Amino acid sequence: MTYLFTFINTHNAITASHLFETEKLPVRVMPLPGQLGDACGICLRVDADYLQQAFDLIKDHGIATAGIYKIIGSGAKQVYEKWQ
Amino acid sequence: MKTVKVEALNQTCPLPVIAAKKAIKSLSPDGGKVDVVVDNDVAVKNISKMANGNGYQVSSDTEGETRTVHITATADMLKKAAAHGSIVASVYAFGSKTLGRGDDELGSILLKSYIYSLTQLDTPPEQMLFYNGGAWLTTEGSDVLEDLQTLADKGTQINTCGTCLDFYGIKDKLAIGDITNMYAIVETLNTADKVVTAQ
Repeated sequence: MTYLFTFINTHNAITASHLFETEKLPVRVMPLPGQLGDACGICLRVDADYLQQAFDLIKDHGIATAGIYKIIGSGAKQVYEKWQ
Repeated sequence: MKTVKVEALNQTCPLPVIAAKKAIKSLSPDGGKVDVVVDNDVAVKNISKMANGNGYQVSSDTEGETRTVHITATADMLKKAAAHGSIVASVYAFGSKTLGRGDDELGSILLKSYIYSLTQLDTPPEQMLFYNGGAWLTTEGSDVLEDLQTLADKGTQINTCGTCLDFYGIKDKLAIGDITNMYAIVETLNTADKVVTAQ
């Protein structure tokens, strides 16, 4: 299972990406899916094994997320279920 | 069946491949055979790859330091190869590890996002070329290897400029795809239906 972190702006997305990389937390970048509206256009994918660690890091560093979603399915059939 | 013999000793790739292609083109429409004599395994591999890719029969043998690649192209095979052409439908070229000019951090994250988006296309790129700073994207430690593997699994050919890998001292770190050179890059760009350059 993979989770998606969206952010209020690009600076927060880049800061989170750097933070995860520094902490050796596997993260992948993707563009914001159209159905998730008007948050920053960059979001980060994290595997379920690292979800809590990623969540804690973001909280501890005061990074502003727009939402966290569970990614269900794959390819064009992917749907995003709100987690937080 | 007529046999054309090509001497390509002491020639480094892609020259033996180009010579082999020229010899095949010189065959009559009835078909024929081309024997290419080379002195290294890389040339054998590249000529075989080209011949297989065009649907010709290919075999090779070794005698001392000399290797001979035997290519057989029947009339039917030549017809099919001509119909298919060697045109590549779409090529995406990457000359940098960032996308756009301005802030490199933003450029880096945009490029990752761009490559992920390519994995979501219904028709993935037929070929991706990486050169200069783009060579870092196909080597160990790159953040986009997983997405590139997804594309490779869908059939995308991934090629990185050997000169560039050598320049940056990362030739032994190549983690996906093959090494290519400027002749092959130019030929691919020249024959492609569509070239998209990530800038």
